[in-house]
Amino acid sequence: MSIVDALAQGAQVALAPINLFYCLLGVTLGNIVGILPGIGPATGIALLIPVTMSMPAESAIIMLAGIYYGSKYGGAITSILLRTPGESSSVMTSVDGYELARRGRAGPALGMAAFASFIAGTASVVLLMLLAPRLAEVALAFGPAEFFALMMLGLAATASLSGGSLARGVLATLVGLALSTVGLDIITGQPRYPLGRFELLEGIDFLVVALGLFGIPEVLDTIRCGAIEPVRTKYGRLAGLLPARDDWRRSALPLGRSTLLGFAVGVLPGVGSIIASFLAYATERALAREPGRFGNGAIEAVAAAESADNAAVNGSLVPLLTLGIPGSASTAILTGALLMFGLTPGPLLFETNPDFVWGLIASLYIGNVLLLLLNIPLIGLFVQITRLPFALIAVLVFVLSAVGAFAVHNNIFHVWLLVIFGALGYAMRWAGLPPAPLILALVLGNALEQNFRRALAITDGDYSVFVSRPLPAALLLLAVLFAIGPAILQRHRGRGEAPEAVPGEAGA
Amino acid sequence: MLGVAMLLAAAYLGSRSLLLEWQRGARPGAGAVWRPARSRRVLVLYGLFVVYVLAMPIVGFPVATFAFAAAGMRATFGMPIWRSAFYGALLALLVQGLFGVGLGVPLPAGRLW
Repeated sequence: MSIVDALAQGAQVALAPINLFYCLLGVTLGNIVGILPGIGPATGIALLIPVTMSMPAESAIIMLAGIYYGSKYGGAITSILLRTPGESSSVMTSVDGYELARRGRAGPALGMAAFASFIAGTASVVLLMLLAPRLAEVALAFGPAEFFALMMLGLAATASLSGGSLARGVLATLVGLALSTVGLDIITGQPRYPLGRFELLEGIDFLVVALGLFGIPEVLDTIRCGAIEPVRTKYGRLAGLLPARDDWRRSALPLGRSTLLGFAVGVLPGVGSIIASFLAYATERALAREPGRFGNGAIEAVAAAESADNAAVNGSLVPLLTLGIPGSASTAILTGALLMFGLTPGPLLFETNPDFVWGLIASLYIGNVLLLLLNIPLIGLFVQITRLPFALIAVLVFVLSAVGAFAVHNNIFHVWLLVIFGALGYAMRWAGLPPAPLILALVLGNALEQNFRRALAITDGDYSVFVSRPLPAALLLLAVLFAIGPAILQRHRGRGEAPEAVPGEAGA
Repeated sequence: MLGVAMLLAAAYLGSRSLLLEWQRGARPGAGAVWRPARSRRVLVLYGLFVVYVLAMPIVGFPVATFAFAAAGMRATFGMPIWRSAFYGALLALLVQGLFGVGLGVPLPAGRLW
């Protein structure tokens, strides 16, 4: 089946009225999540998974994916108008976007952000569509050793790049792997760490951990940082959202380059969209004829940051759909959601569930159009969301987390687990430990162990299986380089502090 | 064995990381400053949340949600009593609508609705 035929088949799924409705609902909620400070995309997705439990799988994932990429559009609105990025990957948009708003050019800046997001979003879906099936075909030949090495690479990259230091990233990964061992042994059926509770025989549900590590600490951290007053800033009348011809002339090339760069960065595990937008901004400043404009209201900087941010989102879906390896907290939660619906992400997904995969890809096109249609006329309405009292958002997150944890197994025990993981998540934030590697390790833990043991079973316990074949050896070497590379570079430069990333931002 | 090994390694890394921070004379989590007033808010809201979870099986989701939301908004954020009660009722309705009626998720025993 050609790509065009497959996409046409997917369009039938995505254009079904019920899926169109959930796509619209997902992108609208995503926009709101992006606007609200204190709720990131990972939290937004985790909070709404319980609501999707009774839906058909494709509708649920179309809605959850809509929240993921919709949040990127929403993040730009508050970045430009109020200089308060509702979402960490919009930080670079706020630098020049807010300067433009201060000079009375908020309209074109918002328009450019929306158009850049739309163009990059759509172009990167084309790249996803071209790349993913090829990669899935290649991955069909992978054995357990290759998958184990790939997962190790994903974990190493996330541990290394998502926190302030390698030790903290590895620590979070190890805790996640340890948590994934709870429950019945996947091969022998032996109970592991049930602590006398039959509920733990099924293992620790990823959703409870995700809600505990992302939902509750985000709220508590916002209270601790004092950012709880509703926004009262005046931003003037929003007129002339369409960018001028000169704006387009300046932005066209940066937009194209940043889309490609953002997509490539998004495909890499652990890197995340914040690094994509930082890299795109830095690249465009280096290439600019007038670099002095950057930081002082350059519309091309807004186009570059937004297009890279949105392209990275679709890039991150490539390893998720083809290899089953999520590269960030949001995609790890999406992976968990897929598994909950009985869909195992990986190369076989294209073979066994083509309707679902191509339906999801077609919905990405539709979602981007819907987001553009929503964001141009309704921008004033979305801005009003920032006036919601944080008191209401805080208790809403707590209540939805508690009900969501209960709904997993209809058991109050999981709500107590949520309380424990909420406290752990807050303590982790306080100590600067990133939550993304933990959730990624928890989601991948079972598959990692299963592939490790299968590879050893096939070779009668010969560990050289991981290094004797070129692909697993190369992937493991890459994982080691990811893990120790930044530390070596840092020591080489003689700096005391590790290059600081936003904790949890493989999160985005 | 695998889990124990992970936990031991995690404990080693955790204590090492903390020790390094203390040696530098900084609190764990560089840049984080302990602010008593805000920390009290965090503690109050989290304490109320624990009470909420305790109350769920006894009085049911909607009632416990109303009480938690109203008390949480008033005690933690100083919201006026009528507004906090109004939002609390709204949230209780939302929870019931989303999870109780709409999706057929059974609620814990003892619900009062």
